[in-house]
Formats: sequence, C-alpha cells, structure tokens
Amino acid sequence: STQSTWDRLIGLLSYPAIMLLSPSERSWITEGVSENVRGDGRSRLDYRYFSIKTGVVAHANGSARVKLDNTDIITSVNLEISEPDTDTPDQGKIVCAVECTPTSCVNLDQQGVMNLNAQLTMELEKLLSESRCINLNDLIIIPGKQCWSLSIDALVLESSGNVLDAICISTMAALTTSTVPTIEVVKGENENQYEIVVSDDPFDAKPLAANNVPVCVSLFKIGSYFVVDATDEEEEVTTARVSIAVNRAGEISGIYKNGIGGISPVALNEMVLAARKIGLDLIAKIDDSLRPKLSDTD
Amino acid sequence: MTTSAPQYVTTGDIITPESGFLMGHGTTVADNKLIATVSGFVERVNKLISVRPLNVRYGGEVGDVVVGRVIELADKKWRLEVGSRQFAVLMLSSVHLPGGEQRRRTYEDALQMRSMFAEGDLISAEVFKVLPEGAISLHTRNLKYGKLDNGQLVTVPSALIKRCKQHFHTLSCEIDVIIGTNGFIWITPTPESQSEEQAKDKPQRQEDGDEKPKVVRHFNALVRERLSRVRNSILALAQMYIAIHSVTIMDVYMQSISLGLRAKDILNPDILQTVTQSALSRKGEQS
Repeated sequence: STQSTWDRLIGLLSYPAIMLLSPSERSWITEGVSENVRGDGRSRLDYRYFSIKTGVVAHANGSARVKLDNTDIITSVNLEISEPDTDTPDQGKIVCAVECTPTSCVNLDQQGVMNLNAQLTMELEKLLSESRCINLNDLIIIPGKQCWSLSIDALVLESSGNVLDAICISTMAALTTSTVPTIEVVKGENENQYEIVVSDDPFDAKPLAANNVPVCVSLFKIGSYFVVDATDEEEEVTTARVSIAVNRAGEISGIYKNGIGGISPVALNEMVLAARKIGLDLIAKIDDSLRPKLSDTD
Repeated sequence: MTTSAPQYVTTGDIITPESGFLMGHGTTVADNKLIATVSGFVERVNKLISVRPLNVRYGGEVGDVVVGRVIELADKKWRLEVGSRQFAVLMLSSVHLPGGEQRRRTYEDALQMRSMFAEGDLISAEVFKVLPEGAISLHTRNLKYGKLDNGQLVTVPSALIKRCKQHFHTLSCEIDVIIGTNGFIWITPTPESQSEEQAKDKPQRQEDGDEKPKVVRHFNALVRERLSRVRNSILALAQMYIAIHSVTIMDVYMQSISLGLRAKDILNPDILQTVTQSALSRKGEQS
C-alpha cells in the first residue's frame, strides 16, 4: 500500500470511530479509571459480557459471531485448494482479511476506512502467524503442487470499542470449530497426473488442527493507569495501547504496541502479567461457550 | 379521545375501510381506503388519522428540553448534534452572555464564541423555534441551561422519553439527571451544598466580565458507583423498551440493590429481565 511508514506508526489509536468528547467527559473517564470505577461500573481489569455463536455462515468451513456489548464481529474460515508458493513447497497458505462496514466507523471517510481495514488485517495476521497456531505443513496436499489455502475473513458490523480483541475471539471460535473436507489423492498413469477426490458426504470432514489459537488482550493506557476492554469513549482518551497475544499454555505469543504515548518498563511488565491472567480467563470462557458445539461434532 | 387499546399497524395495513378521514403523516389513500405507509401506532384527532412510528429521529417541538453536542461553529451560531434529522442551531443572540443579561452582541462576542462553547462541548438548552427547513433552534437564556460538566452522557431512543413538566431531576441516590427529550441524558452527581449550588448557578456573572475559574471537583469511587448504577439502569430500561423517567430509573436502581447486584452486572442479558421487573409492572399499571 502507498501508506507512508509514518502514518502507520502513528496509526489509528482510537479506532474505529474518532468521536467528539467534551473536556469534562474526558476528565470524568480519566478520573474514573484512576478511582477504579469506570463509566459502566467496571473496574480496570473487568471484561464486558460477550456471547459467541458458531456456524453462522452456511457455506464456510467454520464461522463464528461474537457480540461484545455493541461490538459485533463475524469471522468466516474458508478452505480452497491452491498451489503452494515456490519458496515454501511443503506448506499451505493462510490469508487474513478484516473489513469494517461503514456503519461501524461513521466518523471515518473512505480513506480512513481503508487504512483501518489494513491496520486490523496486519494486526490479525501478525497475531496468528507469530503464534504458529496452525502448522502450515499440515495444510499440504501434494508437495510442490497442491495445498490448502485457508482464508480468514472478519467483518466488523458494529463497534463499541475493543474491536481487535473481539476479532480474535471470533477467529479463535471459528478456527476451533472449522473442519477440513476429507480428500483422496488418486495418482494417474503418469507421475504428473493426479486427481483430487472430495468425498460426496458433506459431513465427511475432520476438525482443523488449530488447538493453540491465541486470544488477544488489549490494554489501554488512560492517564497513569491501564484498562482492559475499553469502550469507544475510553479509546478516545487512550494515549497508548498494548495488545498481547496469550495462548492456552499461558505463554505470550505476541506483543504489539500502538499509539503516541509512552509506557514505562515497570508498567509494561504489569500489563503483560495482567494480560496473561485475563487471557487465560478469556480462553476458559470461550471453551465453556463452545463446549456443547464441540461435542456435537464427535 | 379513544380509550381502547392503541391500534398498531404495519406498512401496507388498512387502517380503516371507512371514508371521510383526513390523511396525516404516515398514511396514504389507495382504493378509497386509508393505508399505513409506516409501521407504528395509529393516532386519531377528530378526523385526522396519522401513524406514529417507534424508531424515528427526534422531531423537536417548541418547549422541549434537549441535551446536545456542539459539532461546529458558524457565523454567529453554533451547530449541535441532537439526534435529529438536521443539526440544531444555537444562535449567539440566544445564549446567556457573561457580564450581563441584555446587551447587543458585538463583533468581539462573535470572535469569542469558542471560549463559550467549543466543539465537543455538551450543553442543555430549550427549543424555542422550529425553522422552516425542519431544523430546531435552541436557546440557553435561562440560568439552568448551559454547558454540562462533571458527569457522563447516555443515549437512548427518543421515543422512550415522554414530554413532562420537569426534565431536571434529582434522584434519591444523590444523582442528578437531565432527561433530554431527544434521548440524550446527562447524569451528574448532585451538587453538595446550597452554596455550591449557587456558585454553580453564577459562574458567568462577574462584575468585571471575566469568567470565574471553575471549581475543580473530584468524585470518589462511591459516587461513581452510584452514577454508573444510574447509567446502567437507564440503559436497561432502553434495552427493554420501557419509558424512561425518574420513577422508572429509580425502580431499576432500587431493584438492582435489593438483588445484590453490582452496577456493572445490570446489563448482563441473564439478569436484564429480573432487574427491570418492577419497572415493567408499573408500565402495566399505567395503561
């Protein structure tokens, strides 16, 4: 993209909607954070209630819809047969794309929406690829010739803050409930001839090997404190955001910092520890929410 | 006036097969029958029949108290977002000037507009005129209107706000609410003492014309907890589509306390029905 490096560094800190707030509303939010009673009564490290529904996109290999207050995300996972890249003949491919609908970012113009989509896509790709949650070697069909290409498409329908975390929750739910169709490679007479046979039975599929998808815990610095799961008003008052990817084993698989504010090393350490605890809680909540669905596929 | 249950129609429904009625908003005549063009409740005034939909943009009538956010400054006027189809207009001649009530607005006043209300500020005002194009014109010529400080805003559908005599309420939990008819509700802690109340009322009335430096107030966790409980009670009413006024807000507030809920749990979908129970039953009593 033609976006300059400087633009990307500054980033869209409070995305998706840059809203107008009066100085007194800003100080109400900032003081509330320091008193540990936020606008909606939560403490700094409280997450809002969220719900997950899987299987919402009929033709996808896996899908999930997450509603975190008014933040509404649909993620769809699709598998296609494709050719592997020439420099990685033994690996399949993963492609991420995030799109924000115009109603989710009413204050942004067309260029702003494109920038936002690019930024969220980049962050999601980074989180997934760094965590190695899907072994690309598992996605190969015929080395050097045919492989699975996994497309992860996330659609932001509406936003009330903390969009990246919600995208990651829905991506995790979609990937862990995704299935790969069973295929059989039939070799022809020549070495170069082959046929890929897909089973007629639409339920003849095995689960995608994606057990270690991380969740993202974004922490937002407001004043001298940080909060988790910010609303869009709180994002407007945020000076810096640190997004930390936590996996099932409690390991930090990625850290991403955005914003023009600075964070002291002591604070950063506290944020990572807090994110780890919150991330493990989140994973447990997601597992609880998905459990009845997972047992259905057995 | 009809005392039967209000008639609800959907787009295309026949409101009445009888003839001789006047077409109001939301109706049309087809085949000599009166048909609804929107979904909503039928309102009859003598021979005029109209359909009032539920989810309309705020319309604005003279005398309404609204809460609005300044979006831009134009030539001797401010434009405010009030959730209507157009921005509301607040003329420089309609505001309370510092340094005296009645005087002609000078060139200097026009240049100093931003020092009064800047972009992003929230103000309370009253509708004094509806302009021909449909925009509303506001005034803040009463001392109780003006810039809003120390609190937070919550937005609900304007259909849930009924017009009543009093829009400035002090709730029994020591929280003040300004219930704007446009669905913007400002929640702030009740000022502590009478003297502080008076100080708040006269921030711009100084003899020398300078604005008195605002008293910076700090609020502890207890006050904030009460305020966020009020905020969540209002949003709970909005989610259950119950009319919002001081009585129903306190219904949900008191019920959340008696259920032992923390403020943040009120909007939990599992709890929403139980916590709005008494407010719902009051709705039944009134109709």
